[in-house]
Amino acid sequence: MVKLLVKDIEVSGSPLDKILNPRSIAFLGGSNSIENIGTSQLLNIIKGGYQGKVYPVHPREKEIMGLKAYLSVTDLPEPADVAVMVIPNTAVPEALEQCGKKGIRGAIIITAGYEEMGPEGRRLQDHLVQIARKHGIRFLGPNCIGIINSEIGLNTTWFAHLYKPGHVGIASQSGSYVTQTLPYFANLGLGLSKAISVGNQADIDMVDCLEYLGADPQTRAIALYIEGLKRPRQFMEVARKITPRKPVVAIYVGGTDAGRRASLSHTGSISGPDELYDGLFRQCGILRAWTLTDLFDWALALAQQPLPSNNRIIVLSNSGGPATSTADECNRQGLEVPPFDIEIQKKIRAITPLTASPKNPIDITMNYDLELIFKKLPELTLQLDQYDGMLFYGIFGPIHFEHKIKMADRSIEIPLDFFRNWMLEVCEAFVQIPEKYRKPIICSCFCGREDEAVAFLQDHGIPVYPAPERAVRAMAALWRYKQIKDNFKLSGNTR
Amino acid sequence: MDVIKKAIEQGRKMLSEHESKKLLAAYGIPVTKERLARNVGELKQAASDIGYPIVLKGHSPSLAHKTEKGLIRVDIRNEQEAIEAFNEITENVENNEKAVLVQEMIKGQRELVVGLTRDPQFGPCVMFGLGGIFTEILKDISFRVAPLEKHDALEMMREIKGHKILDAVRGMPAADIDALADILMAVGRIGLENDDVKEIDINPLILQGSKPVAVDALVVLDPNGA
Repeated sequence: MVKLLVKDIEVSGSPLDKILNPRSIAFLGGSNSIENIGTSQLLNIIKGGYQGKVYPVHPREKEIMGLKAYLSVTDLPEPADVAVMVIPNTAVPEALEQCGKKGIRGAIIITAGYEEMGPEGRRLQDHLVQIARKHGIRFLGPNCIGIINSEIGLNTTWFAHLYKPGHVGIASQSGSYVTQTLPYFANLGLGLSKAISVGNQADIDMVDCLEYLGADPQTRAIALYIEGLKRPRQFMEVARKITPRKPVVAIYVGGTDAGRRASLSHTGSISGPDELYDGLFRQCGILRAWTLTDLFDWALALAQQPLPSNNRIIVLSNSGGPATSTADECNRQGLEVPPFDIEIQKKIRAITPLTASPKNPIDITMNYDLELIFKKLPELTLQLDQYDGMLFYGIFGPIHFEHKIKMADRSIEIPLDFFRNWMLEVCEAFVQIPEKYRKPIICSCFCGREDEAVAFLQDHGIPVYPAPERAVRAMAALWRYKQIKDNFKLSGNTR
Repeated sequence: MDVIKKAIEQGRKMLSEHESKKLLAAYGIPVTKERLARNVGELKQAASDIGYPIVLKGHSPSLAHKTEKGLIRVDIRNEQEAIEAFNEITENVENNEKAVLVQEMIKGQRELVVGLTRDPQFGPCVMFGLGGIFTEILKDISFRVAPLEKHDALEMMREIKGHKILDAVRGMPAADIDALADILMAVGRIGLENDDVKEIDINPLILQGSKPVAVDALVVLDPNGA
């Protein structure tokens, strides 16, 4: 698993290198009172697994959470790699000056009250940029929530470290989507590599984040939440270098009719920002998501599953409704569910119950033959050249027996351990299959991680979504990204 | 470009249709054969040079959306019809110039739109979509940021919902996709090389058989835009 060590290597010569991988942090704005939001964030840093040095800075406290506190950054025993500021905005310029004098060259300015507040805020923000430029400081924010680097156990954000280390990298213009989403990610089994809240992008912006995540080996898929790019042309240039080898999913919000301009030409009046962003995303091979659900669902699948080589999907289920819903949504999403050859259907019929449907979707109908649904049928069908991936419904793990045991109250004997061990054994085999055939498997299940089987599959790389349609849309995203990659190869000489 | 320079010197915010097409033609975009006529003598000469049937359009340096103002007569088949149309149009044009644009009649049922818009951050962006009256009703369009590579042009044509109109349909030949791609790339170049051009409409761009021809065009200027 991931080692929680402070890294010495620099990923890309990016301004984010030090900010995401600091060996030491000066924290301005935490105290011994949880009423300060800064205290919550400092607690995450100190107790979240981060192994670097932490220097709380406070005008009055001598000690914070058991660590020696300093009156000013100028008093620190060394120039910290990064200063995190959660202090009133009147105090930020002076603090930033002092960071500069001390030799601190990276900052995360959480404090709000800048450009987002109008022209006066904009002036204050420009002042911060001036100070930073003077001292060669690169900074994130202001008006952001900070960063998460799961590789070194660092979380400067507000929500506790519920996230697990993984391979989805996020850059967001909303802080909420890299901190308040942490419980949501945990429930979805989505593991984070790095998460960056860019805030007002006064210095480091979305382009820098994309470039960093593109070069970061831990990140296998990138999710972006965008309300407006400051440098769209540079963004495009950077994205075009990344998307041929690493998938990028983006959601753009804010391009409503309000953004449209009065114009003499049809073209001018029809070209709202939403249309332009749509064109830009397509032009650089970025998958556009229309909902946050899709944004994170797709990034998860793209980070963890192999790509299908074509769009012919097997639907395997132990229940008719989910099988039909899955196949129906496949048609809408540009995926095909072609029926099996008669010979294959015979083979399926030979091992399934009489009530089963062997065509595709395969519906084995409700039974407890775990070998059949988790091993025999996936092996039999995914080895066929005519099929490119599998959508699976039929996880009924130990939780069901646990509930029954409570209800039965010893009136009948239910061998929980037997089912549990059997389930985990077949799941162990099941999670190997995508790698074995280089074909994706995506599951849906109405039970979440409270079911041990769901948690096991998610923790071993198989996405399990809480509804069939979400599994289908994630599979369709894999297929679309495959086409994007192929198009890049075809037009390689002109890109 | 001379036409742009002249218009800016005259304090105009747009090029006339005729000037717009000169600009397009300079970038290799196929446009209608056309000529200005200020009197009946010039009209007769232009019509016989171009050949009937012809189209007459009111000409003015500050005239957009001519259809709505009743300043277009199509399918004019002889000299008598031409003179009648000339007189009607020149009565309606509200300027001193009293000129009409004599234009070849392009026959084709498929109308497309190609446009350019200059965004303060994105820079010049090229639009493709269904043209004529459908442009604003259906908004079946796609955009790319200039400069466009050929694959960008091909992709944006496939992206619109009505892309099958470019195939061989109802006895009509498939559109000349390469010629269309050339037009899209050329429009992007116009945007990149002429900072004063704020917007362009080529609407309709009619498929005559398989070949696209710019039938109407409007170039909007913004001398301070650069």
